[in-house]
Amino acid sequence: MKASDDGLRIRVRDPVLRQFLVLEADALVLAPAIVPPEDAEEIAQRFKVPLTADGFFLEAHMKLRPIDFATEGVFLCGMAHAPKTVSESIAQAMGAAARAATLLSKEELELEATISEVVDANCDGCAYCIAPCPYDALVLIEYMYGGEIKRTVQRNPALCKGCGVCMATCPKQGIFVRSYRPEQLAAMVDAALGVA
Amino acid sequence: MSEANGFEPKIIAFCCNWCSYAGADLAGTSRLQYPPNVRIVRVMCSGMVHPNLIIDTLTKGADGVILCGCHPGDCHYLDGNLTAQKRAEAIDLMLEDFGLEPERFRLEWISASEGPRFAQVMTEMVESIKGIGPSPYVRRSD
Repeated sequence: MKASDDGLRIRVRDPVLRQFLVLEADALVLAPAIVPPEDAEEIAQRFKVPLTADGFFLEAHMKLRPIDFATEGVFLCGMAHAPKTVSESIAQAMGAAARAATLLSKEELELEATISEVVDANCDGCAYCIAPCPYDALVLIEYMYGGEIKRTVQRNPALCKGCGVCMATCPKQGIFVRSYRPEQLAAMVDAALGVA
Repeated sequence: MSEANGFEPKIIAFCCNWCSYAGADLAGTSRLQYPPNVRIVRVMCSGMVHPNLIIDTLTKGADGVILCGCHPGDCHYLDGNLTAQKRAEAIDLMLEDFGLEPERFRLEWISASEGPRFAQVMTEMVESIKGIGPSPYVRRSD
């Protein structure tokens, strides 16, 4: 950078052209770095939504669900998502509002089909699955069965997202995710190995 | 596929629906080359793969198993991949009990944008398994 009576002459490297350019300007304004908010982690934990490695909020899918979170009913827009311009923020905010409106305008919501299901006969209520569940969708219940107390796990279909952490934790095949039963996964493996 | 006495391992890759499976897809659409020894089984999350399934796969005919999930912090289900990571430690101990080499099971983080990394990890895995030879549980007719 050089200052003269005519103004500033700024020499910068253009990474696209791979050449140095000299710009004549009246003032040089540097954009400050945009950093994620300090309390993002706390908000992420409260709303059960993920953050990227940089500390910004992470959408459910970069291309297919760009303003949704994996958690139902929570949307994102603006610089919570990533550094961006004001017009981009406004466009995304309008999108987020529209996404929220599609939920609010419905009388009923359909649940995801691929969620977990408890096999009461196999579940002995050991409750190993309850703590690992990221959505707190499982509770231990007790009921009378054949004159005895039967302990079993109950899953809340509205909270379950079907991640299957419970299935992989269960030592007794007492819980599975629909379409991903242990038998189905084993059959896929058998077919892939050609041993079926 | 196999050469005169060349060993072509069978490797099963469990890929999570959100990151690694999309990464495999990207490797494919980018026309990246990686060995055909890898067969992919799609799961919703790396955290849904039961340790028993990994061991069963290895004792049923696979020479190696690779479990792929999202990078820590990127998990679609918050922390399913971290659960998988904790479980992988238990799986390593189980491999020892089953008399299997630790190289036969691997946990890798591959994101949806890492097509080249997917191809590279799979190539490395195949090379590593070729180095240690067939699984002791496999009886080969060919």
